Amino acid sequence: MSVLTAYVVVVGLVVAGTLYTPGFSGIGQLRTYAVQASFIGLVGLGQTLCILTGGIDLSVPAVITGSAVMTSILCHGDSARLAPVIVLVVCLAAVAGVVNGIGVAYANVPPIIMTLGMGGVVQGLMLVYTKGGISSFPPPALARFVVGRTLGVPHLLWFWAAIIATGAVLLAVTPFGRRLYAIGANREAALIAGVDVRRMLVAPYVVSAVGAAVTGVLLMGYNGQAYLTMGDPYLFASAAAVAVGGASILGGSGNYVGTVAGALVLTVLSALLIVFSLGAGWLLITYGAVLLTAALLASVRVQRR
Amino acid sequence: MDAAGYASVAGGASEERSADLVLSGLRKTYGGVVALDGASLACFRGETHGFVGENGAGKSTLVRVLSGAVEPDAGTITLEGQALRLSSPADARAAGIATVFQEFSLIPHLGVAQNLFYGLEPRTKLGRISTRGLERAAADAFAAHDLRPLDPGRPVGELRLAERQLLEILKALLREPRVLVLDEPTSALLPEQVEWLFQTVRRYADGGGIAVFISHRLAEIQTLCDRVTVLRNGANVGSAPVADLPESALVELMLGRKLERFFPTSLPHERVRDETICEARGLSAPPDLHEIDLDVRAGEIVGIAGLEGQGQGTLFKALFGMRPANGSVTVRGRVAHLATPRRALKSGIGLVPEDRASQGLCLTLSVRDNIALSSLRTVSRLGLIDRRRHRELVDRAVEQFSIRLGSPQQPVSSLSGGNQQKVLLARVLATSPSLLLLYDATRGVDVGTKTEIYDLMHEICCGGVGIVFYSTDASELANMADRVLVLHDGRIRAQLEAEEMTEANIVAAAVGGRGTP
Repeated sequence: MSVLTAYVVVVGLVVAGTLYTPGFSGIGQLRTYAVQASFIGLVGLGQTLCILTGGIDLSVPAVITGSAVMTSILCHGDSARLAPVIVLVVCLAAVAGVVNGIGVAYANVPPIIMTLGMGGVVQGLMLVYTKGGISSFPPPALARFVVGRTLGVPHLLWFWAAIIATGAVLLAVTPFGRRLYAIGANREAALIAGVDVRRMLVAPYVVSAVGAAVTGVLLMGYNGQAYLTMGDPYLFASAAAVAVGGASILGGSGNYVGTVAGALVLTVLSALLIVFSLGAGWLLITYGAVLLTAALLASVRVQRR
Repeated sequence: MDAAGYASVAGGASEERSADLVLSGLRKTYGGVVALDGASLACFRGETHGFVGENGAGKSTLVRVLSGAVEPDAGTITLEGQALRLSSPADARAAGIATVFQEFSLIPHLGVAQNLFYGLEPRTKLGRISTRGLERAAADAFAAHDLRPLDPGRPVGELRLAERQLLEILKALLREPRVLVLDEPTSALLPEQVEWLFQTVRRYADGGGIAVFISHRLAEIQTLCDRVTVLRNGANVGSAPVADLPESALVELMLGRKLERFFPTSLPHERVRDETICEARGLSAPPDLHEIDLDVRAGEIVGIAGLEGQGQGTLFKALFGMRPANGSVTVRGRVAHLATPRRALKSGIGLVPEDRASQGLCLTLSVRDNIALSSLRTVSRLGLIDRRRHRELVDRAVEQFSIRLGSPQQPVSSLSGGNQQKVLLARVLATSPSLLLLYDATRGVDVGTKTEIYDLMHEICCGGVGIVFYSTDASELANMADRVLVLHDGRIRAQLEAEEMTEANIVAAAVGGRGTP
C-alpha cells in the first residue's frame, strides 16, 4: 500500500462512519481521533526506523508502562518534580534503547529476541519496583498540558506535528536517513559503501525507547493514571501503523509520513468498530489481519523480483 | 561480413533431417520485461550445441525453461518427436533432461555419495538405503568417468568450489539424460578439469546424447561445440556450425554491431607515473595470506592472478578493512588505519566487490541513492543533503559512465547488469579514491560493457589513480595490467611484467608450471 492510498483509506473510513452515524465526523470527534493517533504516531517513529533497518522493537509496551508508572510514583502529584523526573525517565529509556541497539548491532542478536528480552526485563523491574500495585495520579501540570489547547489545537497535536516534521526531514534529506535505507536494503553493501553500520543500527532502538518513554508520560497525563497494562496495545498498533503506511516489513522502504497515515487508519478503524458495537476482540483481530496482510504483500513483492 | 550476413547463415542452414530437440517460439515476460521473444533452439543427437548471448539476452531464462523451473508464456518443446510440457523440474527429469546450473543443487550437509545418488539410492532388500552400496556405487561412478575419487562420506559443504562443480556434472551424468544442459560449467574449474569436462561431454555426445553448452568464454565454444546458436534480446540472431563463425563474428552477432576493439589501445607506460600511491608491507592474515608486499604507482594497474582461493579475496578484504591483518599499508605516504571499510574509504581506498547483488548495491534503492551513498557528507550542508549538489553529483556520474537509465529515481534493480556495475563504479569513484580495488569487476558483465569498463579503468588511471585488479580471466589481465602478481597459497608466487606477461604465462604461473621464476 502506498502512502497516498493510506490517506485515502483514512478519509474513506471517516466517510463510512459518517454515513452510519452522522456524529462520527464532528469536529470534536476528529480531534479525538487525531489525539489518539498521536500516541501511536509517537511510538511509531522509532518503530519505523527499526523496521526500515529490517528490525523491530518489541520492548515498546514495557517502556511505555514503565515510564508512566515511574513518573507517577516519583512525582507523587508534585508538578515541580515533573521536569527532572521526565529527564530521568527519558535517560533510563535511552539506556534500554542503547542496550537493545548494542545487542542487535554488535552482538548480532536477532532484534525480535533482543527487544523481547529487554521488554521482559523492564516489565519485571517495574513489578519489583511497584510490588504490583500503583495508586497515583499525574501531576496537575502534566494533565493541564495534555488536555490544553493553543489556537484551538491540542498541545499533543502541536507536539506530534513537530515530531512529524522532524521525522520526515530526518529520513528524506539527511545523510543519516539515506544510510538507514541503505542498511535496510542491503547491510553488506552499505558496509562496503562506507556506512558505519553498527553505530547506525543503535540509533533506531534509542529513538524507539525514548519515543515510547515520552508516549508513556503523555499517556499517563491523558488517562489521568498509570496502570500496568497501559502500554500493551502500542506494540501491535505501532507495527501495524508502519505496515499500513507502506513500509516493507522486511526493511529498506517506507517513511514516517506513511506511518502517520497508518496511525490515523488504525485509530479511525477502532472508532468505527466501536460504532458497529464490536469489541476489543475485533480490534485485535483487525490489527492482526492488517499486519499479516502487509507482511504477505511485502513477501509477495520480494518473490516477484 | 556484417551481422545481418551471419543471420542469413541461420536461414540457409536448412537441415536435411529434423532436429531431435526443438524449442520454438518461446516467449516469456516478467512483469513487463521481455526475457524471451520467440527464441528457438534446434539440436541433434550426437552433437554439442553451444549457446551464447550477452547478459540479459535470455540465455538463463531459456535454461530455466528447459529445466522446468520456468514455464514459458508461449512456445513448444519437442524431444525426439514428442511434445513436452515442462511445468516443474520433475517433468524435465522425467523427460530425460538434466541441467547443471551455475547455482549448485547439491545439499551441503549431505555426503558426496548421498548427493550423487539423491533419489536413486541403491536399497537393501528391506528397502533401507544401503550406505555401503551407496559408497561402492560412488566409487564406481568416479572410476567410470575418469575422476579422482572423493571421500564418499564427506559433506559436500566442505568441498572446494571446483570439486562441487565436478560433482554436479557427475550427478547429472549419472541420471543418463537424453539432454544434458551445462550452464557456465567452467567458470569454477581448473584448466585440467576443463579438459576433463570437454572429454566427458564429447563422449556423452558421441554416445547419442544431446549436449547444450552455455559459456561466456567463446574460445571454449569454439573448441568444444559442433554448432552454436546466438541469442540477442530474447530472440535468435543466428545458428551455424562453429567452423563458420569465428570468435569475432560471434561477438558481432551477440552485440548486433561491430566491436572495433576490445581493450584500450594506448601503451600502458604512458599513464604510469613514478609516484607511489600505495605501499603495503608484510600484509598477513593467517592462514590465508602471508607477508604480501605490494606497491602501486600512480596510473598503474597491478593485476592479481591465481587459482581460486589462493588468498586474493583475503588480500582485498585486508586492504579494505574487512579482515584484520598484520603489516602496514600507506596511501600517498600516509599510514592507513584499515579497521573498517569506512576507514579504508577515508584513507583513499575504494573497492568494487565480487558480488554486485549481495555486496555491491542496494538493489531496491534508486540509482541516485546508490551513487551518492558513499559521498553523502560531501553533498550535505549543516547536516542536510543539499539537493542541488546531490543532483549534480549523480548527473555527472551518469554522464561520465554513460549509464543508460530512464530516471535517476528508478531502482537500480531495473537496470541491466552492465549498467548496475557502472552505478557501482560510479559510487566508488565519487569518493575520489587514490587506490581502486577491483575484484573481478567484469564477471557476469556483457562484452559491450566490459569494453566500456576497460576504457574507464584506463581513463581513471590517466587521472593518477592506482588500480589493483583481480580477474579470473587471464586475457583480461594480460591486456589491461602493467604488472601481474600471481598468488599461490597466500603468497606472491610470481611477478610478470612486459613481454612475459602473456595469457599463457599467467595461467602457467597460477597452475604452477612454466613461467614460475
